[in-house]
Amino acid sequence: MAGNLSILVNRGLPAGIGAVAALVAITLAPQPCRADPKPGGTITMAQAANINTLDPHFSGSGQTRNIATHIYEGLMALDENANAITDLAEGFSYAPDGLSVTFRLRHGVRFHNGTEMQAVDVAASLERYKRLSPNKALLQPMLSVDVTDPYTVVLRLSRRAPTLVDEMASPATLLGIMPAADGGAAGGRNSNIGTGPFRLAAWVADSHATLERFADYNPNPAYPKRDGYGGRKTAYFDRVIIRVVPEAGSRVAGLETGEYQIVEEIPAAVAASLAGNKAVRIYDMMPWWMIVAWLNNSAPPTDNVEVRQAIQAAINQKEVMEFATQDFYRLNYSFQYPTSKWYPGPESQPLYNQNNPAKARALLGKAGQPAPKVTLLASADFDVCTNAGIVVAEQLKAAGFVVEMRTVDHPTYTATGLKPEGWNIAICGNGIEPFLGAYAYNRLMAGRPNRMQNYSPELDAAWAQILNSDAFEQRKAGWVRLESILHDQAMVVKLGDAGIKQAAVAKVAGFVPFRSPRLWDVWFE
Amino acid sequence: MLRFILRRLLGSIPVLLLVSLIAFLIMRQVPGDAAVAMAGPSASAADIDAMRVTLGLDHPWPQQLLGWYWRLLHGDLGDSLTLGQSVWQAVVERAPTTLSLALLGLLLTLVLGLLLGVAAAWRQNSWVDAVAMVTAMLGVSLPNFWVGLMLIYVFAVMLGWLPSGGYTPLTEDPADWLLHLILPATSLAIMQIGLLARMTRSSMLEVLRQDFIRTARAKGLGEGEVIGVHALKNALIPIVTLIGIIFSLMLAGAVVIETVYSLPGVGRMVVSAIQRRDLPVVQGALVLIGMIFVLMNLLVDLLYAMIDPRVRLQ
Repeated sequence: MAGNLSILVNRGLPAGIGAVAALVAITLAPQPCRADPKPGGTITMAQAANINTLDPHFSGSGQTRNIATHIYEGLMALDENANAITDLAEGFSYAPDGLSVTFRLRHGVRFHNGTEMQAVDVAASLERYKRLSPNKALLQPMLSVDVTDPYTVVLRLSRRAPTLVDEMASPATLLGIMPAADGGAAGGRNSNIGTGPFRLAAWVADSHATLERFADYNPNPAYPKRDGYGGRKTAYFDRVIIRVVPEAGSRVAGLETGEYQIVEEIPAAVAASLAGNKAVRIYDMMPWWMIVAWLNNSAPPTDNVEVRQAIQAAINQKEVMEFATQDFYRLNYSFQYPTSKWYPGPESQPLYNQNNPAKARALLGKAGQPAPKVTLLASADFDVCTNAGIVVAEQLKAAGFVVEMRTVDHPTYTATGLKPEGWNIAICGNGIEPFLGAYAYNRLMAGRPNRMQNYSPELDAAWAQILNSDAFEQRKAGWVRLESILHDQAMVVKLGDAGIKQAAVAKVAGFVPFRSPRLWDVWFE
Repeated sequence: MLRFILRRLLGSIPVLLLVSLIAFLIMRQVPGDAAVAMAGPSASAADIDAMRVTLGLDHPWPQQLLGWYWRLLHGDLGDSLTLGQSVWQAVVERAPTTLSLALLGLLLTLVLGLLLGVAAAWRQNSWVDAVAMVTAMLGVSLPNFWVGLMLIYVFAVMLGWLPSGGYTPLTEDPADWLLHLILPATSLAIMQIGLLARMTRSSMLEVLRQDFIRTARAKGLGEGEVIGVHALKNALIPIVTLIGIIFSLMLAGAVVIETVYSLPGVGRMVVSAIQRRDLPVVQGALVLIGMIFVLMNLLVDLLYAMIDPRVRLQ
């Protein structure tokens, strides 16, 4: 009973922050032979974090994504391996000069209000995204959208943007296609009508969203089956209810009583205690996100590269990750997952997991700062970040640093970390960036000010290579160069990859964990 | 009496404005704003700046505050920055949950708290007193979130009698509404039952020592009539005061209970609004909650006059 009681009081990661890799090593219990999928039924999923808005253009949060990916579809989507594939677009082509992209649209795709999705809707959606999305920089090269016929749009670009179409597939701030009537809607005030396999039936923020199977959904005929966020999608459930259940103990209790059939995230310790429960299946999502110590490259003493290298040398990543993740982690020096096509290789990096306080002290001596005072910021909203911060602080103290640790809620963490002063080390996780590959890091690691509060012409040159090259090999070479700059100058310290545990009742079939839960092509046995 | 009520209501306006001003100033001091929360955990500075402009948070704060007061004067609590609806609509959607929870909790508190308190006073220093007071002490001492989790474990997971969370509106299915509220209301009431029982006991003991109680017994009245009619009625003044406070505490405690039981109430909305830095929701909800407190205090004062005819409202 003690073990079970711990389920109720154990607090886990608030879901929705982190991020999964597409290329996850998913550990599943052996699956029994299954009958053909059966339509019908209502499935309820419990997620930890509140839903701010269902407007996909207007939010970069994981909670919005969890629901929006069921309601909306974009011209492009990411497949199971995080490669861009066509979704509402039938195809696309760049002009020879690279200054326009033409999208040909699928025919017969219907919105949830019954009207057919056409080029005017695409144009209005793109323009709305460019007007109000926090990720509007994505469409910054877009000068205009021309509707050349009901099923063709041409994006006129101010400059070559060879990665634009790939980036449009990102679900981070989903470029979902809405009816043209929503084009003028303010953020969060759209009609929540999309073309996805489920339509929104009801939504109470902070409580739940109810989705219903969209009877007129037109699956993408170009693919044989579900593929990432795209492919041929089939909705089997009549209704999907996504309920906000902040308390981890309540989520687990609801799973055990059968009130919830899927739980987006449960604490690792609880998952172990559920291992013997045959009515429940645990899904290991490794990696889900990566834990990172951002260093402030402009505020003293971490403006000094030797002080930053001393931090890099002092950290014992194995110890940090063991403690922070309840032993559910993987050491990885890179800002890409090993299964990603962007992973630089080889598998080790001499500047990672050094655990060398003597070297750190020597570097501090060289910098003329034997006991520098640093402010370490950790997000209190995520236990992993707080715990990682605690261990890093102790390791730095052992190397001679004077550490002031500040544990703050996530908005405070984010707001403070974006300022050039008031912090030296900021620890939390990044999920969507490694899931997407290289491009999404651009928002964090390029220009001035970037997340490291520095301006590096070398970094920007690497970014130019990544974003302006036509061939993937050239882009990847740019990324490899970029990572080596980050490590050599200790601009940011990677701590490790972390996973999360998801759970579902045993009768749920077809569920495969992904960056956010997909409840299409899932059914009850 | 009407004049008294009007004067009290008018007198509450500056209090409510002050509450909203304090909320505004405190929220201004907290780092981060709705743009940070909305842009997502990995947003860049540029992303957040773009969101700030979209949400109108780039205006100077005095302009934002004055704009909010101006709208309030027109009966408009403003629009949520994150929920895509007006604050009034957001509160109205969630108020039935919180009020259901608080009223059911209050009902449980009144019945059990008064019973325990009266029994303990009636049989002072007996085993009845000891059991009642130990029970009351436990109720006061146990944190309600822990009680909530334990109740879920026993009644939902082990016994499967009641749902572990969620809410069904009364209008949709009254039986299901009650089923979903039994555990949350009990969790909320347990601490208050302890408080009320202790206060009732002490107030009753004072009254039971009065001459008129001895007279009533000397006249041969039954013990039930002595306790129920003469003693309890005279002990009610401090108890009614406490009931007003208890209702306020229940509204505050609802924040935790709504989280544990995943109830879509006002308390949880305010907490998430604070986390999202959704200032209009925080301000608007605090003004409305403040109004409920004012009305509750007014009701308590009116009850004084009903219970004790010597009290005159002026």
